[in-house]
This record gives sequence, structure tokens and C-alpha cells, in this order.
Amino acid sequence: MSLELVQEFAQQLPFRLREDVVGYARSVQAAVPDIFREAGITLDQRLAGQLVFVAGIKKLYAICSGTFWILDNSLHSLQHTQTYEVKIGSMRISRESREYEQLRDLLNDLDNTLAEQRLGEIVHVSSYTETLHWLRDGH
Amino acid sequence: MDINVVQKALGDFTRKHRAAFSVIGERQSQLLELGAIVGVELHYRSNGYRSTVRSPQGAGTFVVKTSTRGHPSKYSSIVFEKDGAQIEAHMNLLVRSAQDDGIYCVDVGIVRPGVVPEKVNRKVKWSCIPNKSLLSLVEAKRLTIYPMLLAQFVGIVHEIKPRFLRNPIPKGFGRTLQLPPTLIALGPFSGNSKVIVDAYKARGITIWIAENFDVRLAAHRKGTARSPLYWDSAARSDTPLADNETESAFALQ
Repeated sequence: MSLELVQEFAQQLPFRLREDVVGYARSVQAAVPDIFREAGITLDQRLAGQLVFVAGIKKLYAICSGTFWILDNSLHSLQHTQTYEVKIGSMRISRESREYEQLRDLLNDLDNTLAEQRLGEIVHVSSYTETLHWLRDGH
Repeated sequence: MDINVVQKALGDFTRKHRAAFSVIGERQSQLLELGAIVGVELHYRSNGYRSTVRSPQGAGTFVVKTSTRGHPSKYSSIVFEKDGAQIEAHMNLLVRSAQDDGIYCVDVGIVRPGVVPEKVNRKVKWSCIPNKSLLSLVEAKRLTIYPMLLAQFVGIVHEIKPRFLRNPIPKGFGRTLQLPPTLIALGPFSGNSKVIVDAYKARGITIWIAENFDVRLAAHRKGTARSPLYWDSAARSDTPLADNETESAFALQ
């Protein structure tokens, strides 16, 4: 059920990103019994569904965050060589470019959306056993 | 957590940012390769090298080479200099195999100076650099580190720079020296991949694995890591900017 919900929110994404998000959630779904065992929690379908759903969110966040920070850090690091713009194919990206602003706004908006849903913390939790405990404790 | 409410909020979010996701979909791999050459630049600079970007479009713009096609002189490269000695880093560089006449394309090639032409010579078709001119290489993957990815990378090094796979260990490569062949990945170690990597040293294998690269780059920027390709002990516990799952084998792609 929750994999379907991941598919629904990922529907608007370009094909490859959609496959990344859904595929990642699916791989977590396959590992659900192991994660419950490692966490010492009895398997529960409702919790398992939430875990798979959160996995999709974590992957979406990793894509948005990873892409923006690699770009931002690259632009920052190249500054000392008096380089302020990168040209990738026909696209020119600098801190003033539309693409940079789009990626920055995307990450800011995702941070805000997750904070409103009280999920801002969970995307930074580094293990799925911890995530499972967090969900079980009623977040 | 009300899953249906969250699902709707995320659906609205992905609809609203369709243009930004389109940029990511088109350019994510190329941005990672850009991040890789920037990581190389930061590594050498942290080890006392002076770096200069050489760009066909003049100062200010770094032209990313996004594929095997195209003459290398039409793209940016980085020149490093220390104590009078120079080396260069080039993106998507074609290099002759160490084993046969095959040609491979490495994401970042670290080479001796002057081996990559700075101009197109219409009389001579440039195909690749000689194997001996390649000092080291970097491959970048938007994947978690899993055992078969490690096997693939060892295979790449075997075909291109096999001396890094046996004793005696090549001199002058390491954390504070030149970069050995390095695999950069956005994801963490998964499954038993860390066990495999930990055994490399005893096997005489001198390759480096830089997992969680986006987190490393951020740690370097915060000043908690000297080189973004090597963890300093203080940087390891840094807050991740992306998924840094470590306990189960979940591929990021």
C-alpha cells in the first residue's frame, strides 16, 4: 500500500528519478523483515508501510539535497580559481542562474514541506532501525 | 504521521517543482562528475599544490566535458603545480589500456603535463593519451558502494593502472600525496563492502574508496575535513546532507 503512495508522489518526476525513488523504496520493502529483526520489534504491517513510505521520502530528499550541495560546493570551491560559472552542454550554471535558484528553492521548499509534516528530522536519521523506532514512538 | 496528508503534500511539491526536477534528471550524473574533478582539485590544493583552471572560453567559466566525444582542448582542465613540478586533471579522458590496444574513458584522468593537446591539430586525429602518461584516475557513481561495484572498479584499475593492485605499493600516493585510483560514490558502504575495502591494504591494493561524497564535500567546506576525498576523524560524525544509511544493502539507484 505505501509503495503505491510513493509511486503516486513520484509520478510527476522524470522517469529516471521516479525509478530511483520507487526502486529505493522497493529495496527497503524487501528488507523490512531484517530491519524489524535488527530493531527488536515484532513485524507490524502498518509500521512496515510507514517505513517504506519514509524510505521514498528519504531518497527524494537525498536526490534534492545531494544535487544542490554538489553544485553549490563545486561553485564555491572553484571561486578561488576565479571561476564563477560552469557550462554543462548548453546549460550555464552560476549562483545567479535560473537553474541554481530552481535547485536551491527546491531544497528549501522540501525542507519546509517536511518540517510542516514533522518529518524534517527523519530524513537525517542515519539508520533504518532508528527510523523504525522513531515511527513506533508515534511520530 | 498521516501518510495520506504527507503523500498529498509531496505530490503538490513534485508538481510545483517539475522544472527543477527536470534539471536534476538531465544533469545529475554530469554534476557528480563535476563534483569529482572539484574533489580532485581540493585534494591536491590541501596537499600544497597551486591550481589553475585552464578554460577554452577564457577565465570565469568551467566547461564540463560530459562524454567520451569531443576534443579535450574544447573543455576545461585543471593544472596543478608544486615545487616546479606540474600535473593536470581532465574530465572524461580517453586513455590506452595497460593490457592491449583498447581505449577506455575515465571520469577524471590525472596526467603528466602536456600529454593532452591544447589545440586541435587537423592533420593528426587525436585518439587517446598513452597509458604511461596517466598517473591516476577517478570514477564517480551515484550509487551506494556494494561488492560488485568494488569488483568492477578493481577490474577498471586492472585494465588501466594494474601496478596499483600489487606490491610494492606505488610511491607518492595517499592522503597527503598524490591521489591513488579513486572511486567516488554518493552512497555509503553497504552489505559487506567495507570488509572488502578494509582488506585491500594487506592485499597490496592501493585504491581509494570515497563513499558519501556529497557529505565529504560539505564537511570539507565546513572546514572539518582537509581533503574531501579523505575523512578526518572529526568529520566522520558530521551531519549528513543526504542519505547515509549504513546497515543494510540498499542500492541508491
